[in-house]
This record gives sequence, C-alpha cells and structure tokens, in this order.
Amino acid sequence: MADARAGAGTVTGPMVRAWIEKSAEVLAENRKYLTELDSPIGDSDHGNNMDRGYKAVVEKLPEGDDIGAMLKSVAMSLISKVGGAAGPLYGTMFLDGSKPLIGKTVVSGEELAQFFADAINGVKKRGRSDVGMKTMLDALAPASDAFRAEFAKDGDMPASLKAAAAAAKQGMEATIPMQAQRGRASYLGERSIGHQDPGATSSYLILQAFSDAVEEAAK
Amino acid sequence: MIGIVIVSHSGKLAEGLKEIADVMSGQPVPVAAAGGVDDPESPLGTDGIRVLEAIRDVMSDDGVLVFADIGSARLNAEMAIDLLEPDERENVHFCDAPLVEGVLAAAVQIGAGSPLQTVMREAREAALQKAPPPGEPQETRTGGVVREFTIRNPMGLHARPAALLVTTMNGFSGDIRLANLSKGRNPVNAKSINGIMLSEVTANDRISVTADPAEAEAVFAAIEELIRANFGEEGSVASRPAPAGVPPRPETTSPAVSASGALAGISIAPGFALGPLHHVRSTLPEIEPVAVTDPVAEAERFTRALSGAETEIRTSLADAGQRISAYDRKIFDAHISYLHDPEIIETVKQRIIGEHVCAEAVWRDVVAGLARTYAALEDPLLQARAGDVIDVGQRVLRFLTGGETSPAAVSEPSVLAFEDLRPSDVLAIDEKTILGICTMSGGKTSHAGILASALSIPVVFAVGDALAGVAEGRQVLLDGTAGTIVLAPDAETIAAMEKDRKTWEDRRARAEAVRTLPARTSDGHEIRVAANMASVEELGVIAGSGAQEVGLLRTEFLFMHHDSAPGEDEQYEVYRTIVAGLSGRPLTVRTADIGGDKPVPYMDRPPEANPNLGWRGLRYSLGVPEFFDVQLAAILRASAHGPVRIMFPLVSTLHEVKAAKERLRAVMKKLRARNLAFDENVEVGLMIEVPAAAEMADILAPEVDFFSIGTNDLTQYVMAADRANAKVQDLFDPFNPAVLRMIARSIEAAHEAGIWIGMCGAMAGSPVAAPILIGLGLDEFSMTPSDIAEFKLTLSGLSLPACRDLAVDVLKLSSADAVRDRANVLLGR
Repeated sequence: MADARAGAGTVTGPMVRAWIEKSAEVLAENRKYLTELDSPIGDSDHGNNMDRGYKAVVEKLPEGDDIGAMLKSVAMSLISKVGGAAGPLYGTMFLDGSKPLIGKTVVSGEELAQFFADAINGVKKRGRSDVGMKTMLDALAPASDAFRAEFAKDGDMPASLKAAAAAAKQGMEATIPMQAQRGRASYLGERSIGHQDPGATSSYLILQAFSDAVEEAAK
Repeated sequence: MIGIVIVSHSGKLAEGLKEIADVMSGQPVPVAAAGGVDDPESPLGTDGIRVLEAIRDVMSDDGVLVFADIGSARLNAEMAIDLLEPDERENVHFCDAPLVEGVLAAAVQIGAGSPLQTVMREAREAALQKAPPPGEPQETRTGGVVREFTIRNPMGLHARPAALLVTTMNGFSGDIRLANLSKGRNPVNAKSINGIMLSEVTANDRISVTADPAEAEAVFAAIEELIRANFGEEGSVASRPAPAGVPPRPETTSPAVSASGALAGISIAPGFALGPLHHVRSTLPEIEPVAVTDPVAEAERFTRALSGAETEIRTSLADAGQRISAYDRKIFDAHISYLHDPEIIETVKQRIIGEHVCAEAVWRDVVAGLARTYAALEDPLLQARAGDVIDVGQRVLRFLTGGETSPAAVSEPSVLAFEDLRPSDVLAIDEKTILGICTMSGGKTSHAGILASALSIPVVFAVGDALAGVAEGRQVLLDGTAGTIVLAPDAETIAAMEKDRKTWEDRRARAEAVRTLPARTSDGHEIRVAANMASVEELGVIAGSGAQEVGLLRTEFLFMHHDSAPGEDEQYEVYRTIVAGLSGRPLTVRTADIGGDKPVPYMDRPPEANPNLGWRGLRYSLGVPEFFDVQLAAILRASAHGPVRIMFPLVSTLHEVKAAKERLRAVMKKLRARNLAFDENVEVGLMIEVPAAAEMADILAPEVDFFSIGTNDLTQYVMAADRANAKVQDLFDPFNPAVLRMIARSIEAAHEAGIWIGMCGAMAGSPVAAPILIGLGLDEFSMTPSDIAEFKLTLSGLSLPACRDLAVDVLKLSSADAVRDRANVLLGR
C-alpha cells in the first residue's frame, strides 16, 4: 500500500517536475511529426512552436516542490514563447488549472480532477470552442472524464493517468474524420476532414508524458 | 490620454504601423508596438507577455485599446488583458477592428480628444468605410448649408492634413459632410479619417462641405483657416504636434466645449435643471461569442427570450397607463413587430445552429448590423429607426444575459446622459426623480424625440460626443430652452439660472393654463390655433397640445419610406387613423409635395438643375395623374370618418387649380361608382407660396374654400434667396416688408371672396409675428405643437386695435429688422 508522504493516490512536486521535463523531451522528439500534421491544415509551425515553448518552460522552471508555482511558470513561458495560438491556449490551460494548487506540494486525485476541469474550461473560454470542433479539447475532455471515472474506482493514481492518456489518444484519433470549426484549419472547410488535429496530438503527448512520469516515479 | 497597443505576428509591421500612427495623430498619442516573438530563426508570432508589458507602458486612467491582426495575435491580446490585475483591466479593451485602418482611425480620434466609446466605434467602422457605395448619385442633404473650397496645399487631404481636418471638424457637434467634386466622389463624414482619405483630395481639387445651418459659418471659417495655414505644411505654426517636453493639452478643453464650459445641442423640451449627471449606457454591450454544444436548445432559449421581451413590452405599456397616448403605443407595437420579423429570427437561429455560438452573441451581431444599415441611410426619418432596432435589441439581450431591468433607475434626482435616447427609455423616465435628459446624438424627428418633446422636464439632444467625457456625478446645468449644458456652473451662473428658471416656470405655468383655452386677444378677438404634422407618431403629442385642428399634414412621409408607391388602401388606413385620433378636430391634408430635392426611387424623375423652381408639388401631381388620383381617393375616403380638408401645394396659376379640382371631381365620381363613402362637401384649399399665387389671390380665391400661406417657400421666392445658402441668409427673412405685403394682399383677397386664410409656415408660431399677422386679419395659425401654449399666452396680452395699427405701420417700413423692432416695442420686449 501507499506510504503517507506520496501514496499511490497522489501526485507530488517531483512527479510534476518530471512530467514537465518529460513533456519537453517528447515534444522535441515529435517536433517534425507535429509540424507534418500541421502542414496540410495549419501553418506548419506547431511542432516548432511547442518545442520552443517547452524549452523555455524547462529553462525557467522554478526550484522547489510548489506544484501550483511550477504550473503557473509553465503557463507564463508558453504564453511568451510559443508564438502561435497554442501559446495562449496552453497558457490559459495551465494558468487556470494552477490557481487552486499554489503552495501545494502534494495533490490529491480530487484536486487533480479539478485541475483538469479548470484547465479545460479555460481553453473553452479562450478559444470560444467546445468538444467536436477538431481542437485540443477533443483529446483533453475525454481524458479528464476517464481520469475522474478511473480514480473513483479505487483511487489508483498511475492507473487513472494511464486511463486518461488512453482516452486522450482515442480522442486525438477521433479528430481525423472531423471538420474543423476553429482556427486556421476551419478556413479549409470539408478539406480539413481526414487529417488528425495537431493540437489534439500535442495534448495527447503531454498527457502520455504525465502518465509515464508518474508511473516511473511510482515504481 | 487613451493608449493604443498594436499586436501583430510581425514585429516590423507593428513598428511600421506605430510610425504612421505617430505621424497622423496630430497629438502625441501613446502607441506601443508588440509584434513578433523573441526567436531570430522564426520571428513571426505573438508573445502574450510582451503584449502585457506594452499595455502597461501606455496605460492611464483614460484607458487602453488593444488591436491585433489575426488568430493567435487576437488570443494573445485577450490573454494579456486577462493577465492584468482586476483594477488595471477596467479600462483596457480589445478592439475588434481591422488592424491598420483601426489603429489609424483610433490614433486620429484620440488625438482629437474623443471619448473611448467614439474611438472604438470609429476604429471598428474603419473598414466599412473602405467600400463606399459605387456610382450612386450625389444627394444634397436637406437642411444643410453647402460651400465649396479649393484645396491648395501640396499634399492634399492625406495623412497629417487629413488628420488635422478631422481633428478640427470634431470640434463641431453637428453632421459635416465633405465631397471631392473634382473627382466626383460621394459625400463622406468629414469627422472620419477614413472617409476623408478615401475621398482622395489632392492639391487643387474642389471640395464641397455641407454643415448644419446653426454652425455652418463657424465650420466654413475653420476650413478657410486651415486652407490659409496650408494645413500645417511648410513651416506653418497651426496645430502642430506639441514638441517633446510640452505636456499635452489638458483634458478639460475637449473640442466641443466652448470657452464658457457649455455644450450646445438641440432643444427638444424646454426648462432648466441643475443636478448630478448620470450616464445611462444606451449602446449594445460587447458580447463574447461562447461556444455551445447544444445549438438546438440554444435556439429555443433565443425564442423564449423573444417572447419574454414581448411580454415585458406589453406589461410596461399596461403599467404606463395614461402616461402615454394610444398613438405613442404604436411605436411599441412596431417594436413587437420586430420581435416577430421572420427574416431576423431565421437568420439568428441558422447562425446559432451553424456556428455553435451562443444566442446573445449572434443576436447582438444581427441587431448591430441592422441598426448600422438604418443609420447609414440618408433619410433622417429612416436613420432614426436605428434607435428602435437597438432598443428592441437591448431588451432581448437583457433576457438572454439576465442583465438589469431598468437602465434609467437612479438613486438621487439626476440629469441623465444617453448616447442616444430610445423610445423605451422615454417610457421608463420617472419625471419625479429625473431632472432632465441630454443625449450625444439624435434628432427631433426620431420616435424618441417626438415622445420626449412631451415630457415636462428639459430635454436636449445632440450635444456631441464630448458628453461622454463628462464625469459621472458632476453637477451640470441643463437649459432645455437654449439647448445647452453648462458643465461647471459657478454660483453666479446658477443664481442667474435660478432667476431664469423662476421666470420661465412662471411663464410656463401661465402658458399651460391657457393651452387648452380658445386663442383670444385681451379684447376677445378669437383666432384658430392649429398644429403642423408630418407623421402618424405625432398624434399623441398633438392631442395634448391645445391645437384645435391640424392645419398641415405633410404627406411626404408616406412616399419617401417605401420601395414602391403606397396604394390607396394603405394611404387610406394612415389618413383614417389620424382622423380617428383627432376626435372630430379637422385635418388638413396637403397632397404630396415631392420635388427633385427629395428623391423617391420609384418615381423615376429626371434630374433637375434647379429643383426649387422645378417639377414639384401640384405640378408633379398633375403630371402623374395615376399617382395623384390614388392619393385623392385615399384622402376622400378618410373624410367619411371625420372632418378632412384637401390642400394643394405650390399653386402658380388658376389653370392648375381648375385642373386639380377636375381630377378631384373625377375621383369622387369613381368612388361613388365603387359605393365608397366620403364627404361630398370636403373643403378644398390651396397654398399661397408662389408670388404669382399671392399676386393673383383675388382670381384664385373664388375657386377654393381656404388659403394657407407657406412662409418658407413664399419668402424664398419673393426674395429670390435660397434658404440653404448661408451667403443669402439675411435676405431669407419672412419679416421683410416685401413678404409681409404679399401676405397682406393674400389675406385681403381671401376675405374679399369670403373664404378663410391660414398660415402653416415657421412664421405662424413666432410670437414676434403674432401681432402683425393678427393685425393683418389672419384666421388660422398652424404651428409646431410645442409652440402652441406660448403662442396663446402671447396672444392673450395683445389687443386687436393695437395689432391693426402695427400691421398698417410695418407695411410701410423698409427692412425686416425695422419690422421686428416695431413688433417688439408692442410686445414690450
């Protein structure tokens, strides 16, 4: 069973730091892939932008285990450095999600579920968008639901994040047949059908990195 | 000063745009460029933190406007605003305007000292003005004074000179239009930088400028001054940007404010008020489009809001009870009909479902577009409908967003300031707590103007955008009689006002006491007082005005607001409604007086070089019998429901009168054949407004039952002076003895033939003219309803013998001024 400091049902500061660093690695590895996804329906810059943004994130990440402070720092770096629409969108996601977590070094499953909910609401508001419009929300929203459902079963954090990443992957793949209704891709109308959304893809990669980082820490 | 932040994907574009804005604004306006990202390899993009810092760089209490190019720039601009502290954020707005045009329009407006709302509006509309309607014929705006100028400075009206012109024109409250005659361009708003720039005025081009008569001379003088100063080119000292180190001019000297700290507008209802100013938001609020997942349910929510708004209108009408007349209610019936407009409802629903966006955002967008369409029309009556559209639009929005119910509620007695007054605002006015009303824009002919003129508190319209800059709660002095607002009244001004108010209130109380009494001189000579009318909406006002009859119903409104000529039944319905509303008081209907200066699209008239001397009035009606017959039939049918008179405008010869009567007999015959009722003895009269008719009045009189003198046209033709030409305004004066002799001759001829004679021009309501016209023997005085009480009071202080002596005297005088002086002596003024 879990120990008292960082049990299987919680996420700790070092885990969050590991998540952020892993996200940066994954996004660097997938820079070309994301840009390829972006070229038929976007500006061919999503891979480059996310990589640049996360490099700045790692560079400026504050010392210590304050989870809210780390996530807020992620937000500010992304807002400043991404350059494209993903900047304010991911920026709002981490900023809105981080607010209740300032000063916390350990986060419970309930708090993490709230983090996902706040983050998703922030993205909806900033992008005036919702699920089904071929955006990052199509990966984030099902992940949030899956996390909540899985965690409610027996409070297993790694299993819950794994379920969330799996749901994000499904959601990402579900954007392929969708017609884009937001952003540059929406200008293409029906021609946006048949392409996987780059924003949903980077969201999946970040959630998968979260799951992997927590799983490794729990080993 | 309001600051500007430019957010662009390109750092170079942002810097370049800032450079143009700095040059064009005329005053040093704080502009910050926030473009590009900090990555030399791919510098295109936007940096939300850079935007945040830029906002703070230009921030002041006056506010900041943020402009962005596309996509992420917009998101980052909004992100940056959200990142501000709540107390910083209050006056920072994202301005959804085209980047280049929007920033430049805003810079010029800020330089001119315009308030935030005006700057935002001009910026947003900057792109609309990019596409002027192609190839439409030029229209002369009725009522404006026109003058031509030649632009001589080398640059023409571009960049700085254009900005200087806009800044100068913004100092005037009225509408000013400029047309490039040399390039054959349509008139544009002279206060719009884009309009001026698009007119492409280059050196040596001729321009025409049209301004409100009240301030035309000042406008023209200001333009002459600019031309003399070469628009600041080549070392002129006029209005250059202040050199560095010199503080910008203080905010209190907003351009529309005169040296005495008063704003001037149009008097709608007289009276005085002193109290704190309370701003009432009367424009559509900005609404963030929010995505919805269930658009069908959202469309249903929209339908519920429509029916909620309808119920609210019906309830407030029921609550208003006797405060508004049955005819004023028609305005709100029209509002209810907007709520049922299938095209609007369908558009909104389709967009909700198609775009997955919340109902309030779509509704706001559709209503704003509709209001803009109305406001862009030339006809002032149609323009005024924009107010009704926004009124209804706001009501529905309140249901969608759950906003407050009464925007005009105040905690202490206040003077209310509106951008534009809506009919429902008037309905919501509680005359016990509202001391007075003033607005930035709006005209007498709007629904709200007509309704507000019946209020017992002072109302002043169209004092200009400077009103928005007056601080909430500031003590102001509203003079409804003079149409002004004194912004910082000192003790002396207040004391003088209190004295004036006392005099005015005494006078008003005495005038109100005689309003509904017969119009008599002190020695019992009785004349008839009538009202002039130009639309159905005025019925309520006229019913309470003390008028015994309607001496002139102008029927042009029936024809000018339609795509095709209204049919007999449609016209009949209007006349019948008015007859019924007058409850037995006679209605004098003037047949259409449409001339070449009031184009009606379906009439297909040839252009005329000189419309005032052209094919207008009865001349047109006789030339197009199918048009004339329809109107005569409709008027005749209305005569079955109450006393109606028919009056022909612009008669010159006996032949015309006979021809018109011939048509009338033919129409009567047809009505009898159709078994339709009408008054067989309907009175027929003609207007005396052409000198030929005045001169031949004795020949014309036996043909008709009455005359009515139209003093505006009569003066214009007798004096050969165009009333729209400021240069000859001293000639355009009905007090000229030449005009008075024409009037005297007509009255004499009428009485000789045993018929009565009235007057329906502006002179009829003038207290100074009253003793002269009574002395000359005029029987009926038809005037603006708001003049009636004062007129009757003036009358009650006159005696018939004194008036007769005066009339004999003035006909021998040599000038209009001498006539007025003589009349004023009798009036004790």
